Amino acid sequence: MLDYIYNSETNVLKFNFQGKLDTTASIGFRPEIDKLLTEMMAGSHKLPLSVNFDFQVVDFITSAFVGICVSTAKKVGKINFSIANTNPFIKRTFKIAGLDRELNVS
Amino acid sequence: MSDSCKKLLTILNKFEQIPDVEEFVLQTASNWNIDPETINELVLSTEEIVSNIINYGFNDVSEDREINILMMKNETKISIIIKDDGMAFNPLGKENPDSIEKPVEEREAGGLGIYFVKELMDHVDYHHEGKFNLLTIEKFITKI
Repeated sequence: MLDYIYNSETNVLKFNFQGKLDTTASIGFRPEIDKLLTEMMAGSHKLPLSVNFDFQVVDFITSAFVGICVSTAKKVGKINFSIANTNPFIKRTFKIAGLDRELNVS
Repeated sequence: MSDSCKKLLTILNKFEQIPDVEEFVLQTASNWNIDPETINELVLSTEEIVSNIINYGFNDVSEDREINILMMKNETKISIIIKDDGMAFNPLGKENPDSIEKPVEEREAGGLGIYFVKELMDHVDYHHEGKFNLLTIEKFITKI
């Protein structure tokens, strides 16, 4: 199940993920995230929607979830998308994917 | 190689079985005192391969088919052989994706799984034997 918090003042949507973000998890999350972003972006807010993925308690991500990160960045604009609290193995995964220089990963 | 350094898991070609694969690789490698970084690499690589097989290996996805995951260890390396009887396909024959050089706006959301495996493992090999695809991944090990 998706765990997220929306701040209506700043128009920031923060997702808290946990565990292994593998193919099985990604199959469940992808349509939910797509739908939520579409709904949020349809609203009239003076600020663009910013999205943050918090990986504080995420063990690893597979290519399927990297795909979700790519599609989210494309949807909201990469300047409005960030990924926080990644462990060294996840950082390495983004580096292998060539996304460490494309996305805001910390 | 003794029996204690050989473990086999058989699953069906269903995405719901992927967590079982991850747990199998994690537990087996942990019992063999493999370092955590290598365990992550093995779990991720095996997950990518099995997902690929479930996704693309079988014409009739409703039909139950077996996938075998055999883990072996000796003094220097850990090997995982993934065996399935789906369509003959060598995933290593594909070129590395050129998307890794592209800006995110020009990327497709996919196609990186086997590339991850090739980057994370020390050796990867495919061959087709009878009606089976056999993909072997190997990682040199550091004892902890």
